[in-house]
Amino acid sequence: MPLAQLNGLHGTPALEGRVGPHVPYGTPVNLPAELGNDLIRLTFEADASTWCKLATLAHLEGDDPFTFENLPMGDLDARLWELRGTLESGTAWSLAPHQVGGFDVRSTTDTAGNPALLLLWTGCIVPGSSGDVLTVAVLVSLAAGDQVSRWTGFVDRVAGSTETASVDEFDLGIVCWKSPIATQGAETNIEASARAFYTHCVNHSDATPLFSGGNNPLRRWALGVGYTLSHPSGGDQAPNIYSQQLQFNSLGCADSADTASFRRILYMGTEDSRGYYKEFVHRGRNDGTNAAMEWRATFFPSFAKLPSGSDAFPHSEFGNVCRTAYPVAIGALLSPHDALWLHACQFYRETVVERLGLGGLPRELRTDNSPLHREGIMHGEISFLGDVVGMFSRWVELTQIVEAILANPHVSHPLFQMWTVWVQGQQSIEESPADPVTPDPLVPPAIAAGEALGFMTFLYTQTRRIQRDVGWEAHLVDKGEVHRRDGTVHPTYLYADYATPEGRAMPLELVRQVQASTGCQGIYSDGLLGGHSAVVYDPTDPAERGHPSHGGRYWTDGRTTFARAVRAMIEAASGSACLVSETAEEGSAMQAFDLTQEGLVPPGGHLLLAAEALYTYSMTGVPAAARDVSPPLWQAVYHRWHCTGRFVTTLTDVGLATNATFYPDGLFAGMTADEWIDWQTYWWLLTWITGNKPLFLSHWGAGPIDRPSVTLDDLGNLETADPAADPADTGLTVVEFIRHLMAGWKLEHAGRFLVYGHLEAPLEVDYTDPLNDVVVNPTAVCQTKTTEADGQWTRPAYYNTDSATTDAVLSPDFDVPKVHHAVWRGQNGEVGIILGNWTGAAATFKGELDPEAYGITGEYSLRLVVTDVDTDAGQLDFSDPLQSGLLAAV
Amino acid sequence: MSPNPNSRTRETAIGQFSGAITLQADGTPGTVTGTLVQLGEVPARSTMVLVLVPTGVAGGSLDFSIPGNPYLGVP
Repeated sequence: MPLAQLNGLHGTPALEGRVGPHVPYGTPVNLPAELGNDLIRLTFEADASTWCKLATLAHLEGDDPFTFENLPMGDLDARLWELRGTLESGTAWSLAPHQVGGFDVRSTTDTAGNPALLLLWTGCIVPGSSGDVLTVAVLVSLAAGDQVSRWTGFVDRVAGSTETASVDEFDLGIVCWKSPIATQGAETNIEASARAFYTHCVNHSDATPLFSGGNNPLRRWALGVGYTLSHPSGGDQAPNIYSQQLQFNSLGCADSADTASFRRILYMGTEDSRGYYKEFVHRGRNDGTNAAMEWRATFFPSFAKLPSGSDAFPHSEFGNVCRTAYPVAIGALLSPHDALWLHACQFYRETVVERLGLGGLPRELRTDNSPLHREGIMHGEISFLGDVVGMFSRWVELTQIVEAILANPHVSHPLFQMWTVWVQGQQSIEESPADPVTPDPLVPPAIAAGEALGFMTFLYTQTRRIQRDVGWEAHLVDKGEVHRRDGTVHPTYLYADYATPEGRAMPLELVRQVQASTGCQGIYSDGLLGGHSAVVYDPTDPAERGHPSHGGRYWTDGRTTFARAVRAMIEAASGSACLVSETAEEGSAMQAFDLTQEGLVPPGGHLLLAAEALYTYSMTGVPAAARDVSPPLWQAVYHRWHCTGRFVTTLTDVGLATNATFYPDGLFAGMTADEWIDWQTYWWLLTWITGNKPLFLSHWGAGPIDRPSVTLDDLGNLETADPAADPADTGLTVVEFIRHLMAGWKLEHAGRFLVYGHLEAPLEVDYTDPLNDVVVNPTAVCQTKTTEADGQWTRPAYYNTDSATTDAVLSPDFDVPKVHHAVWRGQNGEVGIILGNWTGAAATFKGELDPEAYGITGEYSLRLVVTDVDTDAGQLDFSDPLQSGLLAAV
Repeated sequence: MSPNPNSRTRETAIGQFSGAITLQADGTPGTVTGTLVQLGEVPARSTMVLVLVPTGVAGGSLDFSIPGNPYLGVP
């Protein structure tokens, strides 16, 4: 048994004095049979060398089941032994040190087989109880790699008292209550409970509870921790519809060496006792005369029922567990440098990149030790929205462009064709189910021809929601109806209940018919978000509701099940299935998809920085404009706050002021060539340097903006499509940069990191240093130079931080560095520091490298790698038909 | 199949280090002054990679046949 670790617990003199006899590490010691499964939580603190994980659980003897709720915070040295809890009957109790009969520590294993310490308190008598003698056990799992510096919790402030707790008292880094919490008159039970929550620190090795779309990590993480609230109401807007039990969890900085940020809270989310998940955002509100801080439920109605007349924002739907005139609890992140975000972000990225297969290779290619694979040049992906007539020629044309961009005619890139108009008016279950799927007659032969050329085809489907009143209701056993916040049935959409076989049946049938009737290899399932919690407020009465209430796990699990079913079906049919979705949403990370798209980053599926956190405990250098938009964590750390979601790099000239077709009399406000180039290259670099790929490489041949900026001449060379509209050759300039990045995927350049490595914490970078020159975020130009009408096509990334509205947040005009960087670890132990300059002029950079931060304690060598791209040599040589199967085929 | 024939990769050894260093993408590439390592400016619209190889790590090679790695080699 690693006694040293146990002895490393700080503030536990009693523990140190009572450590039992040495037991060999891993020696199994069975849990006493009398131990039950009640949850307890204890607080202890470990030093930097100690790692442990509180796994389970507790027991009591006697009739009253109870839940230990906390160890009191404050002076742990003196009060470690004091346990407090509340009997289920509501009786509060505590155990003073002298009331504990004995303490023992044993070596054991946890249910996963990890070595563990079993801490036992025996002979505990709870004052005020019926005299039960309790045994309390805590299993501290010592799973290798886990590092939990401290588990802790607190709760149970005295009802009605004036809270004066300070940060120091709680020692949690939480800004606690400076005055009574939400106590508008008599404190209600929920208000008292709301003041109780737990927090603990985890690191990335555990399932970091980050995501509104990622219930599964949260669920695993939440097991055995958290605090349960019960409230009979759904809040003012949904009174008495459903009861809730919420478990609050939060993520804090676990770096005990960083005293300034240790235990600062990063995030809080909840999962109730039924497995439904909620996420909160901490938000300030101001109605002009009143200010308040709120926990706003992102995908859920209000929890707390505020007393009538007490709400400063009567029309707010953001009733919350806590509403105060001061910061309450979450979002209190203090991170003096970017590296502290590593734990969350690394887990995030590993989840997204690895589990989602963002490398972009279909499964059969992932196992291929091919030069293509080695080279790391994955794929070009094209799409178009053209009509059926002429689609084949356009398809080939676009593919040729992509191939020319990739500039490697010697490799048959696995190019994917996503086909959105494969059958007129029926690619979606928003359409009528009355008729069987019937493709346009041109579609099957076009698919056959494309696949003969080496394309993998996948056809667009839309199964995420169903239009009402087109005949689907009869096919949905649960009616498909969902209720809105006010209790009314949603007037526009039905939702298939993918959690049930009956609910999956019809969408699966649609997909089956699509594939059977066209012969396509793959299916593109638009926005089948594996984790996006549906907001459903259905009544509890089964006769009235269409679905189980809430969003969360029920829906995410259901969609995952559906995705897997689709994939299994198309794979069985074609033998080489490729199920594609869009968005890099964490909840989709269930190995259900072969390919998805990082380029579209929906905020609903990502951890957002709480705005208040940035106001109050900002990371250094956080621009005010970035604070206002509460960027997703990924962007905050790796993209310097810029919203890098969005679909596409649009190789189109429609955004340019020189394009007289659209400007000044058309939809577009008109960018200069430099503006257009800068936001494209900026977006490309940020995407590339963090190991991702764009959603589409296309020019979206839709409607009025079916205007590619580059095209192929007769010899297969890329050229500006319309020199009059694009006299500065903006498209070619961007293509040149794309080529450079593509070449950068080579193993000998950055490919062994970006393609096969893992993203590490960024360097310490002082962005106030003159060497780290900054300029205004180049995508901010789109705030004024594009319009809503063209935003879908030409705007760069934006995200919507507010699920209650549909307002998107465009990139603010904060400063961003000219040189971005990312640190990666290769599979062979190398660390790659990748620098990228997206601007049109050489730029400088300065960063501090602490190799120990990446686990390197000894000597190391440095090599500088640069790659030059001969763009002239990158053109396809169509004079040699062997170099272009496409041309030969056409 | 050869790597992309249209690009050329050049590597420059900078030196051996231990402990923290400052990386500056300015000055003369490869110049080392104490713990300051200069890399040269990052050219317009381009990237560079600084590869750190711990002593004892071969570096540069990549094993594509890691058993159990569904993304590389043997499934």
